[in-house]
This record gives sequence, structure tokens and C-alpha cells, in this order.
Amino acid sequence: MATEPNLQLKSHEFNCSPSNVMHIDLNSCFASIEQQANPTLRGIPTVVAAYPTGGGCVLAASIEAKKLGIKTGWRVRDAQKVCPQVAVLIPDPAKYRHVHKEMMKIFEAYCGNVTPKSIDEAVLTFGKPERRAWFAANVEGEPSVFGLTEDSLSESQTMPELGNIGKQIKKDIKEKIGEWLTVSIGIGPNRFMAKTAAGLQKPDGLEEINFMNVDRIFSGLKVEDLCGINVALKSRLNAAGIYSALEFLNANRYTLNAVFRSISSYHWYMRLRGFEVDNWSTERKSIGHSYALPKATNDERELGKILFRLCEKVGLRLRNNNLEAQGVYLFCSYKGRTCFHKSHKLHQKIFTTPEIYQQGLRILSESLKMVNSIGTLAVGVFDLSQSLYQQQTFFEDQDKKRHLAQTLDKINNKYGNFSVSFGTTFGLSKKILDRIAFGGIRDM
Amino acid sequence: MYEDINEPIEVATHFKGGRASPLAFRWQHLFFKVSRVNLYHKFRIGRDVIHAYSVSTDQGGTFKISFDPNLLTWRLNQIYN
Repeated sequence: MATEPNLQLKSHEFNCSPSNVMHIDLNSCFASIEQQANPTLRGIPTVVAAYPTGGGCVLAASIEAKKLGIKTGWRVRDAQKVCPQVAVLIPDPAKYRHVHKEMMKIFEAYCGNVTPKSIDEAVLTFGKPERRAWFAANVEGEPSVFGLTEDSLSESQTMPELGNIGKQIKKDIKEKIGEWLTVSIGIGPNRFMAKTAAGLQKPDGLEEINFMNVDRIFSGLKVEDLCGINVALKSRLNAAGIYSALEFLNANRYTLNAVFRSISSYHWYMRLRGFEVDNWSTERKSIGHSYALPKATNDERELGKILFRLCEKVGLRLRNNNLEAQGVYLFCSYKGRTCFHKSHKLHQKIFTTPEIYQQGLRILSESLKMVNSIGTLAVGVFDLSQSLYQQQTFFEDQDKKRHLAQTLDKINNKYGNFSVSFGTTFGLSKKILDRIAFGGIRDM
Repeated sequence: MYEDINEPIEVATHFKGGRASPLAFRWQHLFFKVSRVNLYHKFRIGRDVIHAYSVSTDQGGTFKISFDPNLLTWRLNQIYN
């Protein structure tokens, strides 16, 4: 946890160093990629949904669908009420992963410090070397046309070259991946300002927030328009008399301390003034998979099979990352919007799919005491540790189990997922569909 | 919206610079001339890499076809309705 430096800024004193962070967001990611693949969908409101049936959840809405008010998270039936002609597609994760990887290649050609934030978002942090390289490649002999010289890079107040890099990235995406794909690019002195700038103009935007325009831009935004302000925080800010983003920016430390009552007040104070507090990386603490059932059920046999398949996916990722776990959790949501969550901490580290399944099944049997049918089932492992030095056990069985798991993984990695599986999952080969987690890009 | 087909097809292919470009294909005695590759992507089945192309044709219609370089075979995966 960051400690609070002894830094008192005047209200408000903005970071005046040149913008060096670029946030890039692929507009309507899944839907745009489908429209790229199938031009007959262009101009037609299109949604990509978990299932094409009425209860399916909309994962992405095309720009045309968004103009009609259709949003991510809606049910397909609600989208069809707004627009009966809406095209409903199921996701094709292979396409989205490929586009993500191609976009990263383009970004890495311009910047040495690229952080993918999700399948459709990335942050590019430019340092002096990248700016110099761009300068050398693009501004031969006449650097002053941009009002900059190489020596003045560190002192310059604005970075017109970042805007030009943004334009070039947009062009590259259209030429190298697909002409229908558009990105919104935000530039700022920190990640928060760059993300906020990226959200100002959608689709196909290119905006910068810096010390010169922050007051003007923030005066047109409400606090809830800012990334990281949820309903609860909005209520707390409103209670302190803060309604607009500009009021938030102008709030002093005492007011923010009273609202947040934690280190968050300091983070927000710095974040809003363009200083970087968000460039940390998270450590993997758990591995999990979930499955939204097409039809809610409380059939123990059916749920047991699905649970096993989820445990297979969790186990494979666990072992591919050379990890072991010492805890298992299970989550299920019931029809009627209630849910159940329980975790078990174990004495021994586990590694194989049957071990995860055994623990998961114990918790699942408790969850089935509820009368309602289960709509979503999730299982995961936590308390992870590296299994670099495999401890020899006195029990021969343990070693056999490990070798069996590793051999099955080798076969599945060679011939494809679920090429070899346990008899428990017989008849379930297509039940767990390939999905892309929101925000999840590990193990992609 | 998409109809799964998953049938083998014959494809006239142009190989250049390490890439395969479909020019025309025959499916169920019907001939389609590829007018445009709208999106290329690749995916893995186990260790094997499969190259997929979403293509529009002169005869109308948009298709997803894929090439397996290990078996040197093409398949028609989907018709985009």
C-alpha cells in the first residue's frame, strides 16, 4: 500500500508535465469485429450476446445499437423490444483474441511500455526514448514545426507528437486489421486522465486532457461520469455537496478525507490533479471459471457434470501456470436474484482436477439445499503458490495422481481442450463454451 | 444469424509471403469467387494453428472458411446470413 507523501498541493494544482499516457479503447469491440467479418451487418443494430435466446445477456452492442439506447448487460429480449430487427450473434472468442493480439503488435511498434487492460483496452506509457524515436523518424531536420526541439522534450508543456502517434495508430488498425474498426484514444498526464479523455468522444475519438483544458472539460462532466465512481461513491460525494467533476477536482483534502475516510482520498486527490497513482500491477490471487446456464436447474447430476467441466478448466490453468492451491470457492446465483457463496480453506495443497471437483462438490451440495434453481455456477481456487519444488510424499497415490494430471494436460494441450476427459463429463463436450472474461487477459 | 456448416471444400489459393489467400472455392457444386477477405484470424486446436478467413464473394453471401496447414485442407465453417 502506498504511503502518503508529505505533499500539499494548492486546490487545485494540476500536473503540468507533458501528457505521456495514451489510453486506447476499441469501440464496441465484439460487435465491431463481427461487423468487420460480415459487412452485411454494417449499419444494422447488432449485439453479441452470451445466448441468442431472449434471456441471453448482451455482451456488446454495435455503435448503431448504442444509438438506439441498447446497452451492454441488457437481456436480448429487451434489445429486441427497442429494435425488433436487431441482429443477435453469439461470441466467437478466437476472432476477438486475434484482433487483440494484432492491436498489441501495432501499439508495441510505437511504445515500449504497453499495458493491456482488457481485450479491448490498452494503456501506452511514453517515455522520452519513444518520443525521441518518433521525432527522429517523423520530423527530419525541422523539429521546430511542432514547436519542440529534442532538447525541449522534457520541458515541453504539450505533446503534439502523441496526437500524431494516435492518428497513426488509428490508420494502422484500419489498414492492418480492418477498416470498420475504430478506436477512441485519450491522452493525459496520468492513466486516469487518459481514460477519461478516451471516453469524451465515442466512437473514433482522439482527445487530450491537460492542465490547460481540465477545468473546461470537467465542468461538463458529472462525478458519476468519471471512471471509478460507482453509485455508493456518488451518493457520498453528493452528500458532501459534490455533483460535478469540476467540484470534485476543486474539493480540498479535508472534504475528500471526510468522504472516503481512507487512503483513497489521497489517491483521488492526486489522480484528479493528473499525478500517477494507478500504475500498479495486481498479483494473481485466484483462478476461477463461471458458467451461465441456458436454463436454470437444480438437477444435482446435471450441475455436477457442469461443475466437473469448470474444475477441468480451472485445474488446467492452475497446472499450466505451475501453481498449487490451498482453497476452493463456489458461487452460484439462483433464479430470483439470490446467490450463494462459500469457500473452503484446505490443510493440503491441491493440484489435480478431481481434487478441486471433490471440494467443489461438497460446497455445491450445500448450495442445493436452497429451493431455487441455479442460473449461474462458478468455481475457483485461491491461496495459490508456486509448485517449483514438488515435495515427495510418503503416499504413492499422490504421485500417481500428479503424473496422471500432467499426462492428461499434455494430451489436451496437444490435441485441444477436452480431447481426453473423465467419464463424469460424458455427453457434456460442448456444455462449457469458450468465453472471454470482462477485463481478464491472463491465460488468453 | 450464422449457420454452422463445417464441411470440406475445394479452394484455389494464392500463397505469398508466408500467407495463404483464398481466391475462389467450390462447395456442393456451387462456385464462389472471393471478392474480399474481410477479416483474417487464427486459432489453435491443441498445438495445431488453423487460419480462418471471413470472406465476401462475387456471387453474394459472406462465409467463414478455414485452412489447416497440417492437413493441407480447407473447410467451410459458417455461412453468415
